Amino acid sequence: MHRVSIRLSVVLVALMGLTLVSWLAGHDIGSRQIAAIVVLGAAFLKIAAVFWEFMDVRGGPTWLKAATLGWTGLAFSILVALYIYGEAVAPFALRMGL
Amino acid sequence: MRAKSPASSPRQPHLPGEAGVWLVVIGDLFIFLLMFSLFLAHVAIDRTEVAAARGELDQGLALLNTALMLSSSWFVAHAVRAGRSGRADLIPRWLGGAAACGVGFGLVKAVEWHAKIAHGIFPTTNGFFGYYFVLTGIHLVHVLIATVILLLIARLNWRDHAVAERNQTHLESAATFWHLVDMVWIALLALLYLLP
Repeated sequence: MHRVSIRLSVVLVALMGLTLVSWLAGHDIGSRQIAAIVVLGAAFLKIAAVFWEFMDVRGGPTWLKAATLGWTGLAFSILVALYIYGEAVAPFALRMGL
Repeated sequence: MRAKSPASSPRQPHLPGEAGVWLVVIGDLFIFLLMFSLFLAHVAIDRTEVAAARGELDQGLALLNTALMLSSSWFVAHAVRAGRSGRADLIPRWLGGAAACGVGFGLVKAVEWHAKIAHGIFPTTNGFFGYYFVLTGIHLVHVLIATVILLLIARLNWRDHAVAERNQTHLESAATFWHLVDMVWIALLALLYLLP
């Protein structure tokens, strides 16, 4: 239990650190695109860590690993693409009443 | 006295919680992904409005709530490991810590919303604040439901530690739902507060 507690605490510190990195990236990086990739990358890295370590997907069946990490990768890809190339889909979104 | 369980063997894949709860969680994640996508499509339509509106948000309170959410997940993960290692007596304390973080999150969110409304900012103010209130509101409902579930599980284990060994799957299912709430907040922090 003691080793498990240390491992969980290291993960918590890493999650807090990634939060700080993403907050700094939202302020101090000149390029909007690079800042967006860092902010969203840090967020989905944190989500993967929560799946893997806190939810113990690490010790779960293969389908669970594929579903959770697959969603993480898919969500990151869609949201980064929408943020960077959003103007291209804006007219379509307007027609949909968004 | 340590209880032996299938989860204690590192070579045996173990599904944490019930399969049905995982289906709900994964389905919920895809619904949230759709809402996040709609929000970013709106951002692309009017980046100037969104940048101005985002400047009105309190990043300090959002970071405080992030610390509460991440800490709550740490507490819940400890509760699950305590149950697996036969230390059911520790479960109520860990879950109590997580529930306290959940209550703290709700109070901070109430302060944040109150400040917005006091400044004349409502869901109808513009598109950004419409998404802001709806997304954080849906998330807050998840936090409240998950907090009540954690307190019920903690109460069950407080009254009878032996129940914990029998109900480890229930504990893991509740923990799985709690971590979903944490992950949705991680995404909301990035999308609503931090993106430039």
